[in-house]
Amino acid sequence: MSVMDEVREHESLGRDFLIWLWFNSETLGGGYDLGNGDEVELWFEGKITLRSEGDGFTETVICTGENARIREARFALKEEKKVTRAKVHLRAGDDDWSFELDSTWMNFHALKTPRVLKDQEDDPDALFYERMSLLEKPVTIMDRLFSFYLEARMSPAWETEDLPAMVNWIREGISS
Amino acid sequence: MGFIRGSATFSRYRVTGGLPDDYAEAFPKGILRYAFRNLDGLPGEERSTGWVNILDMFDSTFLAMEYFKDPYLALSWRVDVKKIPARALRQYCLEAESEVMRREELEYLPKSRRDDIKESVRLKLLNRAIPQSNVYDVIWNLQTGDLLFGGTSNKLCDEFVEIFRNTFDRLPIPVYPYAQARHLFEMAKQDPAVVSDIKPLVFVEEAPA
Repeated sequence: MSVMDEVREHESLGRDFLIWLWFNSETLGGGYDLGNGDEVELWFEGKITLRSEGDGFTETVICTGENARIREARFALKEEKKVTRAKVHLRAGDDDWSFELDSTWMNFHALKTPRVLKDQEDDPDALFYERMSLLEKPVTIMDRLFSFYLEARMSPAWETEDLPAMVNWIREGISS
Repeated sequence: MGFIRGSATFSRYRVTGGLPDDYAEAFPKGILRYAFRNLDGLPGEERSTGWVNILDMFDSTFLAMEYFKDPYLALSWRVDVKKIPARALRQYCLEAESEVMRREELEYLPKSRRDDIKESVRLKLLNRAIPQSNVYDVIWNLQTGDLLFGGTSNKLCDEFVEIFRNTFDRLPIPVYPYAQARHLFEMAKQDPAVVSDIKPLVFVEEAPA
């Protein structure tokens, strides 16, 4: 099977991961314990793109803004639309990142890192290493959160606790 | 914009299989072989791609092998394209054809002659065209095998994979949710096949009977 075929066949993994992150950010505060005392927070901000596909058509809904996000985006989930891209904010300690994450490839778009403290003129190498650290850290954290999602999906509690809670969350969004 | 400054957009890859023993000699040779060549030195070419210094897109000589930044290998992939507007090409061709017909007192030009004129006009306009440059940063962590590429379009990524493989004799494997999930299961010594059993979430409620 080619990479593209595999990506298409299992596209739901990334889409559902984004929904799970969104659900956690709105119901549980978006906090995660990475172990060793490292805690991070992740929340959705500003923009969510959802898409549905049928026989010969593709419909895309882009929700922006606080109120629109809750009403329209949650409603769209019930209409069989899937989250395909979301702008998220990630905080670890004093550092903040914002970026858009796409569900198909899990690519990072327009990643804004914390401000680099090193001066390029004085020490270009120091600037390079600081930037690398600030680029790699959100990637590592997102991989960790993805592994948490997989653990949740494989857990017996998924069907009895997590999934019903997500269904309720969507229902509440529609009625709000 | 890119990995060094500004906001970053990137796709992810994993390079498996470790490094060859002679990588410190082999990689520089590959990088120089596929280093960027300016279109000014490539008459008739509309597109040129190759490696440049991540801190200086005009440097493709790598005299100090600046790309080795332990444990990273850091480069930029530069893509220069010259474009001739179709309308301009058509107008200049018509003008050149009229000139030939007038000079040679011809009533019409055969297709082969028109094709020759078109190619000649194309080359002339190409020499006058200013290339549009795009630079895509590449960071390869040689210790972990993680690779970030500063482009996301499928076509661009396919081309990047090809030049990377040609340069380093290593195939970068794209990281996407399914592949990453399998990788995580393998790392945890669990059966990665179970990833295929994870069903898509469905939130559509059944209509009441």
